[in-house]
Amino acid sequence: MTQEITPEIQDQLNLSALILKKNYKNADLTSWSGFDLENDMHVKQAKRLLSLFGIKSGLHLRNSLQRYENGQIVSHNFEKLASEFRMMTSSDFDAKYNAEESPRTKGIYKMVWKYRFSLKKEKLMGYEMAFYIFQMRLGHVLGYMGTEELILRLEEANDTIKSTFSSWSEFHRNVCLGDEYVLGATEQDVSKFPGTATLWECYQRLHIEHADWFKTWKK
Amino acid sequence: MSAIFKEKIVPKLKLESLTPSEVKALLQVLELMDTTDTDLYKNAVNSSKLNGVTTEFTKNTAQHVYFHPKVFASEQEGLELVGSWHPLLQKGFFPDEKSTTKLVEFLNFSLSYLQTDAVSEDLKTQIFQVLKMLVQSESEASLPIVRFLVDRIFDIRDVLSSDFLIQFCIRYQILNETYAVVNSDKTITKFPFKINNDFVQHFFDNDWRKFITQFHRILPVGRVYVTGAYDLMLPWFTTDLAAYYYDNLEIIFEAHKAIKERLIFGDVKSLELLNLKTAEGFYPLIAALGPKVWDAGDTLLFNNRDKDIPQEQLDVCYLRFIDWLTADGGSNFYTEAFKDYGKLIFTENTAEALPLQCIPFWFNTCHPETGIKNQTETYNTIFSDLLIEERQGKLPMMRFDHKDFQMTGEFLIKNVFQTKDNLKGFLHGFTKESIKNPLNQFLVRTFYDAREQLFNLYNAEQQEILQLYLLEMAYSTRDVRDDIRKQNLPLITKTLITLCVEPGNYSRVNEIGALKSIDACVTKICNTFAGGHYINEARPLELNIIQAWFNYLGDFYYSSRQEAVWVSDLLTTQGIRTATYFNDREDDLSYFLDKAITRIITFHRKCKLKASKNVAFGKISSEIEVYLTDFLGTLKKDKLNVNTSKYLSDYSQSSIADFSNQTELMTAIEAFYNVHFKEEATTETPTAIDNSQTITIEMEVTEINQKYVDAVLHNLEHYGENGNYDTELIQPIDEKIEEFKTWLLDDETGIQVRMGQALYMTLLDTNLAPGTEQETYGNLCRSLFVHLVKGTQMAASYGMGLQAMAKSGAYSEDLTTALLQVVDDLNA
Repeated sequence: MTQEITPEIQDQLNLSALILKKNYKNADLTSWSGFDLENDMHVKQAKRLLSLFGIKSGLHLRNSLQRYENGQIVSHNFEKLASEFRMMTSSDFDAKYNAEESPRTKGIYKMVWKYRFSLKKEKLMGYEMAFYIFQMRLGHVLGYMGTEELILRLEEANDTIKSTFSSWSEFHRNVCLGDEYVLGATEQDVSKFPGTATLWECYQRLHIEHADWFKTWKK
Repeated sequence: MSAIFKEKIVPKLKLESLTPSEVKALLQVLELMDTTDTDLYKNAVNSSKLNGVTTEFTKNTAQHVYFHPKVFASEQEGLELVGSWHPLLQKGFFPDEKSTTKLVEFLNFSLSYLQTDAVSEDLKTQIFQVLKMLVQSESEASLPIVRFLVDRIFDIRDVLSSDFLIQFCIRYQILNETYAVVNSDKTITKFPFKINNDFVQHFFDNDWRKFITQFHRILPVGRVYVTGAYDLMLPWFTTDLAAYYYDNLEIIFEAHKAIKERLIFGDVKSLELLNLKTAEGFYPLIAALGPKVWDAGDTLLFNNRDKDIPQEQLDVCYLRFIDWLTADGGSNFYTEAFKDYGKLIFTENTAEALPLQCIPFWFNTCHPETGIKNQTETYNTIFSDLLIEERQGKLPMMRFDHKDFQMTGEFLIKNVFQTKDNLKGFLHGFTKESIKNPLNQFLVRTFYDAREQLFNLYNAEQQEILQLYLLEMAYSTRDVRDDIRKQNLPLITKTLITLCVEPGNYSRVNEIGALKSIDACVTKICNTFAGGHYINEARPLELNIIQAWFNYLGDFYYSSRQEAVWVSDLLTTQGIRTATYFNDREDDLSYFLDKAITRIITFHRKCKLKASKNVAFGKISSEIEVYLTDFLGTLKKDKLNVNTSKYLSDYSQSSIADFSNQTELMTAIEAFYNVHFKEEATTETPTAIDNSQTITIEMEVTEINQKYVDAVLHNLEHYGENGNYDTELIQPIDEKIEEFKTWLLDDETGIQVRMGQALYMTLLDTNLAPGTEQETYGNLCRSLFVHLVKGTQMAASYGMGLQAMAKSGAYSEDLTTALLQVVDDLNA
């Protein structure tokens, strides 16, 4: 049974809008899943994404959600590195940074160093919770999760996000950082395949109706 | 009719040479022939010599009547004469041997003429009626006439005459009933028209070989769609003929050839001959298809087999059929013979009649990689109808080694697929195909049937490969028709459940349990399976299992009891067992227990808060209460640390928890609380952090010691959480900063770094910024930070960090200024 999307729920769904848009440009932000269940191409795309995340069933989905919720996806690694860096002097860090060869890891070092103190509490939870919501919506396409459970989980994800971040932009900065941590630095690059956008680009284009719903932060 | 008799015969009759009784017979002949108006008759009948004489039709008389070579000299006259005999024969006056010989001679001579239009249809009819009477007569005439007919019919050098005779013999049923043979002692024996030793003796010089050769030769001869020799002889077939075939395999092959030719030229099937049966019930012509290499014609013959032929006689034939299909790279598939007949051998059959060898044939021909693409679809349809459809997942019975054989998965794996050493390679090609491919459906049934034996058939590594294959198949059921999914998914799932018994591999358990998402038909077995693995009292409990339990509590809650349904069992039955496990562990697991209990309580609270929205939540919370009562009631009271005990106690008294009726649970929680708070003795040694949390700092700080420093550090790290901005605690250290620095020199636990870190965080805390309520605490921290860090290695990097922060624009003006001040102080 599909329930109506109340403004409150829409507000909660929108927390994943950025990630959703990035993964699927044609997503409809005002629907439960973001995908048109009647449209085979939409469903196919959702299936593709799910298999990309290794989600083959409701159980896989819930296990994945739990990993996002617990910070096992990025926050744990981020925090481990950050706490190491917090104990370091800048020269120690430079040495470690220069000794590293992989540009990817270097990028991560640079980022963690920069935010080692400021994100001590938040870590990359914003990113993880946004992804948490996104995956639920994706799972809904194939019926792995019903709207009732979605509502229940959304509500809690919303609480977590809003008690951690104080504004729409602060939360999204975290989402972008998480994305960068996972995928590597994403500077704008015109040479890349057209149609793929960096999260930052998506953020710039993201248009949320009734953006004033986001005024109620910090519950 | 009798004109010719009157004209040609009567004048020739010489009564003088006859005895009176013969004369009397002759007079009867004349009467019958309607020639009483002749002088001969009148004279004779008036003769007084005939009074009291009995009539006797002797050889002499017969020759008088029938032996007239001169008349036979003219074909037309001769035939008319023969045609006029009807009344005589009816009366029983038959020709003698000499006359018959002459007659046969004449018939041979005039046969061509007889077929022409010059002979009227009426006359032809009369002649053949005469021949019929002769054949059926118990006289010397019978056998020679039959011989004449048989000879000429089998003589295909003159195929027109042969056919002519056949048509008339059939029309007047001349060769149907019996013929008579006069024995040497003048007795007469009647014989039926049946192919047996007598028949061969009478007409083929007692030479079966000669008969058979001629028989086979005539079979294909004749006009299309008209009755022919075969129809004439059909009533003659006997078990003797079958027995003769039975003894001569080579001759059967000749017969096959003749039947095939007859089929090709005459388009008739010769079913009766093909399915000839011996007295013992053996079908020699069909069975003989077994010992030969087939061609297209044999396929055709076999398809025409009688449906009553016992299975044992057919077994080998089916194998030959498969050989034929395999020969020449399977090219016989494309023949008309296969399309029109061969296919029927499969489709009009049941698996029970077919040999087991069909299975390797099917797998070889339709193999996804090495099979023959063009043939796959046809064979897949054929064999899935035969072996899979309507069988409710059971393997069919087939023929093997001349017996009915109930196929088993074990047998197939061992003897047919022979995958013992190469399961991976074997499955490789099939894994890529979905369950849509009937070969995979059959494999699934094979493994399902063998499921208990799989452990003996395959080693652990192979079992793993098999599981992966089955999982692949399970997921592929998503994209197939409903009925295929509903048939196969339970088989796959049950096989996997059988295979996955080794404890510990929970990701596999989850993967199998997750198959329930595919179709509701496996929901129940999947749930039972997952529950069986997670709650298995036969296996020792482990921390990771307990952890998994409480992780799944989340799924159980969020899905309103639809997912991880075994959690319900867990909550209601496993409380005491969990407690016993922890009681038996000697190491300190209070941290783990704290986490676990926090999680359980979190969900209890959620349930209570939402109880009005869904009855499921009320159920979960009461199940949790059962668990907690069992668990906490049994758990040793020193197992929980002080925080956990306090947390529990606080929660139990809250209105949300609503434990008021749970006296047993309340008592247990109280007992834990009392261990830490009512009794003085704190025998256990909780972790350093826990210890320091409980310190209530009211001490007079006279000197810098470990306890004091710990307290300071704890306050700095945790003021944000408990709101305890304890300025008075920190003040002394700022005053005795030099003493503290000296103390730090002896410290080896990294207090200085931790302290620096904690202070650094306070700098960035907007709550401590100048102009806020906690400014004092903040100022104290800033001062302490400068004192502590200045001149150390860390100073430069902290300085840079603070500068960057200050310039980031994230902070208020006041705090920015304060931060820059700190930087200045550090560099000063």
